[in-house]
Amino acid sequence: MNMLEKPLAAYLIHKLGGGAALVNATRFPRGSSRETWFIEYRESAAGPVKKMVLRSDMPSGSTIPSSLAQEYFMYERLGHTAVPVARALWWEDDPTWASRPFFTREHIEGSWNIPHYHDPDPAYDNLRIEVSKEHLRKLAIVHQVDWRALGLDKRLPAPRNEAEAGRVYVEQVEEQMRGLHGQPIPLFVAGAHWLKSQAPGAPRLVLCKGTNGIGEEIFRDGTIVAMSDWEEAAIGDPAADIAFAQEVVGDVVRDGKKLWGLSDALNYYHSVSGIRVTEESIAFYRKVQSLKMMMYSESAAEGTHSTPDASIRQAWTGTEVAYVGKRIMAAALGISPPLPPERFGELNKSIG
Amino acid sequence: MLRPTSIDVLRCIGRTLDTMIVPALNGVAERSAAATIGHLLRHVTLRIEHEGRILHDEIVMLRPLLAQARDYLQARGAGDPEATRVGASVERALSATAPTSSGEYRDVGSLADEVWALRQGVTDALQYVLARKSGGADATAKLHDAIETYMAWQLERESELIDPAFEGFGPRR
Repeated sequence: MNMLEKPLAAYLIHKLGGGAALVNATRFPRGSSRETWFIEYRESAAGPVKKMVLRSDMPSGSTIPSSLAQEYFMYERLGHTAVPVARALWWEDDPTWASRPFFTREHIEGSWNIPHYHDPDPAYDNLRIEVSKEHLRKLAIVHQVDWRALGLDKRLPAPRNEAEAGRVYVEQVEEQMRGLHGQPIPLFVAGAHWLKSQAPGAPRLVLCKGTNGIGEEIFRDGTIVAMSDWEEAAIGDPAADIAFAQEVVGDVVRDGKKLWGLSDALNYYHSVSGIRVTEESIAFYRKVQSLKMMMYSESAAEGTHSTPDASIRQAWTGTEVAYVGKRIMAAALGISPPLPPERFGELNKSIG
Repeated sequence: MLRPTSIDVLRCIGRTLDTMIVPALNGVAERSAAATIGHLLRHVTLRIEHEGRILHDEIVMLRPLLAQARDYLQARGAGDPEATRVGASVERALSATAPTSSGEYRDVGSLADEVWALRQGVTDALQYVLARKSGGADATAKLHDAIETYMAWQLERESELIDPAFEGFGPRR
């Protein structure tokens, strides 16, 4: 744990008292944007084993160019809402202990992995549909957060009105790309220009989670008990979240019959949120996703280039993910053949 | 050329990783990192084999494209300060990366530096063209088409370094 200047066991004593003891520390293997550690500890020799999560930037910085402090702010603020999130515990940037800042939050029992979710057996079709509905219900809760009352717009850029939501979202990605001072990518320039020329307005300006779906949320017994990874949170169009949702609004097809698909998901989302999102807006934000992939993979490439301490995950993001983002954008612009869907799907596969 | 070659050695490392290291790993984090290492080893192997040639070919493609952009911007320069500004940027990209004598050795880093500078010129020209493209078949559209042709070509070359290393080789993380 190289975000600490001293052993974790000593840090736990410093924070929790002389009886505190480290039991175990495990790094979450999937993380591509930041480091996440699961910490097991006791507050006293006779006390129960407790758990918490420690989150920091990678040694080479975050892949997503929003600050760790902003992510902590999101956890703290959302702790005052109905959104299921782990409670923020504390922020640490004391140089005596932290070689780089980190924060801690509660550990919520559950798993990002849903048994049999990818099992093609028809017996699990209903599971896939129910997971989709559960995810849409929880997104609806996120989208009904009173972001002005929580002061979220003090940290997150917000469009002035619904009409400019799509254009402002693209401009934010452009701004983040400029801030990286990375390699010139003509395809990024062409893609951003094209997207702004067709950017839709939003039905409502809401808090958007950003990255979401399978791999980002904690499930327990079919229910999302914690929504994690708020580094891409933004104020904008709810269509963005549904477009960016990983593996939860796809088609469920059996014997040639579509049991569930995007139109069903949008109707269900409307029934639980009161917000009507169009398939056209979803298509727009899915193209924005490829622009974002180019931006954050460039961030990962810069991180990998800038320090020998970079994570292997950033090296991968800066190579294959960068290429796939460009391929998707080039296809949208009509200058390259479409990428087979399974090629994109491969990116999200994890070791079992 | 030393034997074994760097490619031979990398393939040996990859095979050792797959047959000796990975089977001995128990933790998910360790197996996940090993999977990513395997993908990236194949990627690095391809880069050693092909990146120098691809960068060389890209320079050969970019120089005439930028010359076309320079001529287009010069023709529009009078009375268009933005064309003058972008034209100067394109000229800088061309002159800052003037080809060296044909007998001089170029390593991959040197080729990459030249490609970056030339791409910056293309990016600046593209921004100018996009703001003025009207859909006709004029000089602006011709330059835009030429830049699109370059972007498609560049992506195809990049695919030679990525697809054979990653596609179909299992989980990435």
